[in-house]
Amino acid sequence: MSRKTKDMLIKSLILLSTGFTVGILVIIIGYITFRGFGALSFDFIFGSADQGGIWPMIVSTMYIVGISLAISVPVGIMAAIYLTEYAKQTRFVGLIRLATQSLSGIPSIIFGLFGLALFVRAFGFNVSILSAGLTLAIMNLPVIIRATEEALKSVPQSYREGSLGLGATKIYTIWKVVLPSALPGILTAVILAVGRIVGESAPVLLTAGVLKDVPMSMFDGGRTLTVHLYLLAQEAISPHDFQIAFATATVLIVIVLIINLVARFVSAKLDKTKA
Amino acid sequence: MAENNKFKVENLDLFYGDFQALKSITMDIEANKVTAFIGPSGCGKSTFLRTLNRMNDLIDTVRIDGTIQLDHQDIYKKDVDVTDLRRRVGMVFQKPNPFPMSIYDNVVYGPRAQGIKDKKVLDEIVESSLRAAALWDEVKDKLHKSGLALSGGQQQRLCIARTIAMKPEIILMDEPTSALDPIATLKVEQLMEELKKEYTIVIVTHSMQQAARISDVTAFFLMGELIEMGDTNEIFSNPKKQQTEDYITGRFG
Amino acid sequence: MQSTNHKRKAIVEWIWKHLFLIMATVSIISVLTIGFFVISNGVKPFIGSSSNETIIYLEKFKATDQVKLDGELITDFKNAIGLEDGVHTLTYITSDGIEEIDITVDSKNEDPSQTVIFSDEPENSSLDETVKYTSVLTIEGKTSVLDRKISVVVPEPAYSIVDFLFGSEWKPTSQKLYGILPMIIGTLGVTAGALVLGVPIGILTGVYIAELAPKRVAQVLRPAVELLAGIPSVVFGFFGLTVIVPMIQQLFGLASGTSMLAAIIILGVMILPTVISMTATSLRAVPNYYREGSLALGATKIQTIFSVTMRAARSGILTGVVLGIGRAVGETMAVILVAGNSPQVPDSILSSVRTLTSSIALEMSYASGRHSEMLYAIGIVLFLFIVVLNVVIMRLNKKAGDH
Repeated sequence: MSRKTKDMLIKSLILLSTGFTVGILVIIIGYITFRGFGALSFDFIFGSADQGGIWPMIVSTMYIVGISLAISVPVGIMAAIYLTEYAKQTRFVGLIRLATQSLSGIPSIIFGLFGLALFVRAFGFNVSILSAGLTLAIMNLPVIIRATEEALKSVPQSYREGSLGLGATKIYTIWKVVLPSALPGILTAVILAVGRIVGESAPVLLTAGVLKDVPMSMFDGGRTLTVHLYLLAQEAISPHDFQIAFATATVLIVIVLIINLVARFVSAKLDKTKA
Repeated sequence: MAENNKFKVENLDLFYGDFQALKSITMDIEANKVTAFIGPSGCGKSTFLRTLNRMNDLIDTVRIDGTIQLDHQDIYKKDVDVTDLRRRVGMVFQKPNPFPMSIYDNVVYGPRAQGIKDKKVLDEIVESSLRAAALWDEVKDKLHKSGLALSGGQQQRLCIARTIAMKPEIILMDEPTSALDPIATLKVEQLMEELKKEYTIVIVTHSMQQAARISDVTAFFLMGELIEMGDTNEIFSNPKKQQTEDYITGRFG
Repeated sequence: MQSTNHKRKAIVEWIWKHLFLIMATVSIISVLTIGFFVISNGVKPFIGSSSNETIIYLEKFKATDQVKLDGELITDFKNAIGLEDGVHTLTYITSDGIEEIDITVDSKNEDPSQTVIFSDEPENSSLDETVKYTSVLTIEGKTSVLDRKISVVVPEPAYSIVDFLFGSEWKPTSQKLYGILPMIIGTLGVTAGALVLGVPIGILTGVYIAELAPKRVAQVLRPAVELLAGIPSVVFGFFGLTVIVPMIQQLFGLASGTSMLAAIIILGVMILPTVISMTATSLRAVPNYYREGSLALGATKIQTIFSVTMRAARSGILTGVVLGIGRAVGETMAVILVAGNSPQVPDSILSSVRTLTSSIALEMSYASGRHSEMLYAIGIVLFLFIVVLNVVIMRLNKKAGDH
C-alpha cells in the first residue's frame, strides 16, 4: 500500500470516528427531545405527580442541589484556600491532595452506601433530601477543592507579592486580589458541580428515596428528576408512561444544555480577563 | 553620616533550607540617596533587598540570623507589624505587576488596605501619586480602564505610583527596568531622579551603566557576600577589591 | 494606637487562617469517614457470625394468646428473644387450643439444616426450612392473613472471602449464598467490551479535534464533547432501553434485548468524552517542534501524528483510557436499565448480565443484616479496584514526568 492510500485510509477512519461521536450525540438528544417535546406543557412541568407532572421532582432536585452546594462550596473553597495559601507544602499536604484526587474517581454508588450508613442510619436522618444533599456535598467536595486549588494556583504569584509589598495583610490580599482573579475558575467548577448533582442518580436513590410528593421539610424523602426517569423507565407499560419518561428526559437534557452554556460563558470571561 | 542612616544591617545570614544565600552582610543605607546593588546573577542582591521589607517571609524554608534596624528598630523583632513595615518600605518588582483592576483601584489599593475610605482623600492620592510617577497626563482620562491595558513601561510607572500612594519612606526596586524597552527604561530612570529628592531608594540592577547613571552609593555582591560598598564614582573609577574590578571591567559575570 | 491596630489585624488574620484550617480538616475527615463506614460495614461478614445469638420471634400473635418459653410467660410479642443452644420448650395457648413443642438449637452445627429442630408439627401448622439459617413454623388461622408465625433465626457463621470472591451463586435471601463471581465477570466483561468500542473511536476523535480539525470545527466539537459528558447517565440508560435494546431484540430474534451487548454499547458511548478530551488535551500539550522535526524529515501529517505526536502524548492518552475504565466500572443506573441484571455468569454477549454496582443499587433498598453488609463488601471491592486504577494513573503520570 502506498503512503498516500494509507494516509487516506487512516484519515477516513478518523473522520468516521468523529462522525460517530457527533452522530450519537445528535441522535440521543434529537430522538429524546423529538419524542418528549410534545408532552412538555405547563401542566407537565408544574403539575403534581398524580396528574402526571414533575413539579415535585423539580423541587426535590433543587432542594438537593441547594443543600449540597450550601455545604460543599464554602467548605471546599475555604479548604482549598488553606491548602494553597497557608499550608506548608509538605508531604502531608501532598497526601491530602492525592486523597482528594483519588476520591473524585470513586463510583458514585459508594458515596450512596456511605450516605446510607452515616446520614440515613447512624445520624437518623432517614431517607430524606437532607441525607441526599449531605451525601452529594461530600461527593462534590473533592471536585470543588481541586478546581479551586487549580484556579488559585493559576493566579500569578506577582499579584500576591504586589499586594503584600503594599502593606496589605494576607487575608486582605486573598479577598481583594487572589479570590477575584480565581473567581471565574471557581464559578465554572461550581456550575459543573450543579450539573453533576442534577444528573446523579444512584446515590440519590439510596439516600433520598422515591417519594413522589413535594418535600415539606429537609427530613422528608423526595424523588429527583433522574430517579423519576429511572423508575418510569423501569415500570413504564403504556405509551403514555413512555411519553412522560421522554418528556422528563427532555427536561433533563435542557437543564444540562443550559448548565453547559452558562459554564462556557463564565469560562470565556475567564479567558478575557487573563488576556 | 551615622545620623543619616535609614537601615543598619549587621551580620546578616540567610539560609534557604541548608543553602546559605547571604553571608554575614553588614551595611548602612543612607537616607535620601539612591543605593544600587550590583553583582552577577545568583549573588544574593535580590534576596538581600527582599530582607529589607521582609518579603522573604513568604518562603517557608527561609531562616535569618543577624539584625536589620530601620530607624534604630529591629524589623525582625517579634512584635513588629510586618504590614506596617511594608507600608513604610515600599517595593517595585522586576516585572510590572499591576492587579487586574482599574488604574484607579490599583493606585488606591494600599491606602484602602490601611482603611482609608474617604473618596475625596483617595481621589487626591490618585492624582498626586500618578503625577509623582509621571503618569498622570497619560492616564488621567482612563482612570477606570484596566491597569493591564497599559504598555509595559506605563505599567511599571503605575506600580511605582501605587507604591508612592502609601507615602513610604523607602522604595525598594528589584531590577525595575529589566522587562522594559530602552525608551521606557529611560522614563523610569528619569522618574527615579525625581523621586530621590523625597525618598530613600534602594535598587537592584543587572546593568552597571544604570547603577553608574542613577545611584549615589553602590554595593557589589558576590556569592552571597558583600565585597565592597562606597560612593558610586569611587567604585567605578577606583575599586579597592580585585573582585570588584574584575566584575566592572567585565572579566566575569 | 499603632499597636492596637496591629493587634486587631493579627487577630483577624488568626481567625481567618483557623477558619480555613477547620474547613480543610472537615473535608479531610469527611473523606476519611467514607472509607471508614464502607469498610467497617463491609468486613463484618468475614470476621464473625452475623449476630451473637440465636433469636426467636413471634408474629401475628394476639394479646389474648398465651405463650410460654421454658415455662416463662412472654408478654411482649414485638421483641425478639435470645435462645441459648439446647432444648427449649415452647407452649402456646390460643383460641384454638393448647400446643407444646420442643425446639432444639445447635447453632454451632456445620450443617445449617441441623441447627434448629422442631420436635413436631402440631395440627394445622407447617414448618418451613427453605431459607437457610431460618426456620418458620406457621400456625394456620382462618385466612392466611391471620397466620401466626414462630421464627427461629440462627446466626450465620463468618463467610469465607474466597467463597465471596469466587462463589458463582448469589442467593442472598433464600440460600444465604454470597458469591459475586458473576458480577465481577459481568463488570469486567462489560468494561472490556466498552473499551473495545469506545477507546479507538475516542482516540481517533481526539486526534481529529487536536490535530486535523479546522479551528472553527474544533470550536464546535469541543463543547459537543463536553455536552456528551454532561448528559445524565439515566438518560443514556433510557436511550439504550428505548432504542438499543429493541434493536438488539429484533436483530438477533431474542425474547428480550436487555443484554451484555446493550450495556457495552451504552458504556462505550459513555466513556467517549473522557477518552476524547484526555487525548485532545495531551496531544495539544505536545510542543510543536516535535511535529516540525518530523515534517521536516519528509513524514506526512498522518505519519507524524501516529509516530511522533501520539508517542509523546502516550501517557496522557493512556490516563484517559484508565479514567474511562473507572467510569465504566462505576456506572450504575444506565447499566441497570439495559443489562437484564440476572446474577449469573453470562454465557454469551447476548445474555443478561449484572455488574457489581447494579447489585448494590438494585438490592440495597430491601437488604438487611448480612445481605446489606455484603453489599458494602461489594463496595470495598469496587473501592479497591479504583485504588488500583489510581495507582496506574500515578505511574503513568510519573513516566510522563520522567521523559
